[in-house]
Amino acid sequence: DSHIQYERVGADVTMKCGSMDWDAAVTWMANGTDIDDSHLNGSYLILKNVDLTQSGQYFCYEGSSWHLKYQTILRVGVPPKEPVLMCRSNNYPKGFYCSWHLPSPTYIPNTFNISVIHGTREMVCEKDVFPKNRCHIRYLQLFSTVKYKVTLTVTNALGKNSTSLTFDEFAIVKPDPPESVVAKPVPNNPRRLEVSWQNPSSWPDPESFPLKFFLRYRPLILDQWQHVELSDGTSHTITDAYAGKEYIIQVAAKDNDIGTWSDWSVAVHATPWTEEPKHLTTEVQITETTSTSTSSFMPPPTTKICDKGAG
Amino acid sequence: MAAADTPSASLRHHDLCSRGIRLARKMRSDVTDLLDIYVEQQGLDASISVAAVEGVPAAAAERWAEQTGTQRLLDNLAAYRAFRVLLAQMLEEQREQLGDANGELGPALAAVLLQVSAFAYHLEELLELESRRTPAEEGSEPPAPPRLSLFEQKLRGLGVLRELAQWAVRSVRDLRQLAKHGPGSSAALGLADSQ
Amino acid sequence: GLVQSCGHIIPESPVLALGSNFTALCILNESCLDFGNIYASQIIWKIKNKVVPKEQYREINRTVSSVTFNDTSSLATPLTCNVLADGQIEQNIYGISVTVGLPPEKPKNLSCIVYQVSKLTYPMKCTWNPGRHTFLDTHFRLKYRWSRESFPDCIPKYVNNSCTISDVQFFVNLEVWVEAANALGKAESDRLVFDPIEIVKPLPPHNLSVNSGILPTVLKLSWENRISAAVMKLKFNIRYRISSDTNWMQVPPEDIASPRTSFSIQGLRPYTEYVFSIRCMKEDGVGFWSDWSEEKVGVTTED
Repeated sequence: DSHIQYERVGADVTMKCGSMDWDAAVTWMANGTDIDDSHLNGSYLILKNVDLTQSGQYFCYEGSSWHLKYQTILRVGVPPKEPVLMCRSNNYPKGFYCSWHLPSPTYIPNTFNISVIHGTREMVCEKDVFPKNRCHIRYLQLFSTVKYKVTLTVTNALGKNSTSLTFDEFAIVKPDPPESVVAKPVPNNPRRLEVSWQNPSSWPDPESFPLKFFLRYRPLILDQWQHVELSDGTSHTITDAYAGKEYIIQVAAKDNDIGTWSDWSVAVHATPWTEEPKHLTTEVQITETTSTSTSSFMPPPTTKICDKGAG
Repeated sequence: MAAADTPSASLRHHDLCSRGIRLARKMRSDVTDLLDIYVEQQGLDASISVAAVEGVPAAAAERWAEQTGTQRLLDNLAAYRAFRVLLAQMLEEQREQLGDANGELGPALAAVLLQVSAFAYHLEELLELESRRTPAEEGSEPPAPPRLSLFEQKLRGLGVLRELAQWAVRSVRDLRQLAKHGPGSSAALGLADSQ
Repeated sequence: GLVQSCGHIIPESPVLALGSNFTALCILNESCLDFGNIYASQIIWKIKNKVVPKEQYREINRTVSSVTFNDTSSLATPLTCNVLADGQIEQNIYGISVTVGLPPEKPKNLSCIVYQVSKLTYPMKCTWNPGRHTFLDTHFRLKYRWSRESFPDCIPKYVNNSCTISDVQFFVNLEVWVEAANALGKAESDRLVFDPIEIVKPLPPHNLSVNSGILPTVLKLSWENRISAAVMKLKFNIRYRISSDTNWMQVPPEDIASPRTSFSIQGLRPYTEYVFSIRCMKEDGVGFWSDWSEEKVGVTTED
């Protein structure tokens, strides 16, 4: 069985043909193709300034008998850079997860090791099957002023790197976005839109740990959003929508007392109620239906008040 | 029916809980502002780590979800009584160190001290609604502050305020648990397996 | 003349209730009796040098004479005790100042408002009706306490019908009452018990800005609220008028009944200058409206 040989990009690699002497007649093959003699120094294979494309399986055969004398798998790669680590609690107060990635590929296998220390206590980080680069930690204590320290070490055959995060329990609390956002016009109200949503399903106990919400909305014709912050309930009626204009609406969530805002929810669109356009009717019909027609057109609901001084 | 279960007691219980939650939330907001003033005026680094300070009740709680209503109230009361003494000590130290020149810090500390007192009274009334005797205050105060260097005193103060900020968050959660259940139900207010 | 004091009056400098009766005693010193050859029967009572009718005198004994007034409203300062020495020379023995007034009435109509003055400072001003004039030096004190803690009294300055507590705490019931006291007695107002959060007059929103959008009939008003959400959530009134007009129009209150920092006003006239103003109060309507904010001008776009 062939062993794996890891080399850095740009390195010079020398391979011996197993136990064969330097001056023995040999043939080197890489991934099934002959390697020309320019790469040989005697029976040694010399690979200068290797690059990723030179990764592969290398075989060395004795010249006359074609006996396989040496084989290896060359993996060209780089040592890991400092990994990017993020920890977040989207299911407070159950626990938090940490996830990580490398800022750039190493092209060779890496192993990650994570340690979570809370004060003097090491905590278990249960790895997820999928995604692989994530693990979960259960809060054993709540309301602690002792910071958590998470250290991630990444190792591969060419090197090792690590990063660490120190944070307070409450600082990493960031819910997932609200779900099932629905926006509907309000019949007979040309400037209103009714928006409702649900707590993110990942949030375990909204009753004991209530979320507050931030709603933003704008007509598609404008770039600037309008915002409303709502600290209870999962619905709101927009009361200043532009009549007849299509709106885009999003909602974000945050624990009522700690942590940061979630990302914005999926955007939903809605257009306020508009009165049905009247059908073009002949003169005769008008006289017949005038008594029965009801004009539902409402003057803008603006209350006119004379200047009676301060309210 | 235990006195605690009468309709008026329930109303009173709900009123105390909801106003207690708002007081705790206001207190936390004010303590957070106070921490900024404290760090700046004391010339400390905001990210400095402070070891557990002796005599300061830790807000950290294990198996918090499984506490009974009475345990929550008693823990909170003991903590806020301790903070009342600790903040009074800090206020005294400020006056000694800075006299009238303690700028914003003195009034801000005094305001938080007042809120801590008010919150302690809320808790005492809630305990009485639970038909429970309020534990005597004597003997529960934290020990007199050890003789510390000025820098150690500052760190200790920072530790006190940080812990108080956490207690304020915890108290909001505790009172919300209590609000869910009427007075006199000191059954374990455990959450569904959320811990 | 008589250098040595030959007597005194009791009570000394009394404060008397208007309309009540009053008796004073003039007590001659024994030593003066022998030397001055004067007796209680020779005593003449005077109010401001006006002789008190003899019917109101009574000789208690050789050295003591009393005078009685059924209605103190006729009394004035000084009330003196005099005697005709050596036959015809009237000599003053002693005099007292007499103050006549009324006990304080029960202060009425106690009411308080928390006036927000900055993001973090909420002084509470209480006012009351001090009641009738007492003609006496009457002190008022605003007293306040929690169920388990009292606070130093608030002592009015220069006025007797209001006092301002520098900073109140919310979410705790406060018991407030007024105490009036003078030499003739003390009176207390009814006691109010309330949570100061229920009587707040917030500062109006500020930093208003008006943006004209794409639509010629719409202007968007934005502002900053000056009260922390930890204290209260707000609702708003928005009023607006055409610059050249004096009639204000108002956005329906139900449209701005929840916490926000902007609102799009619609149905406006294109290419017209409007003036906007906004005020706020606690979302549940408990408390007081702020003053109206500074006015802000905006112009709709052309059609």
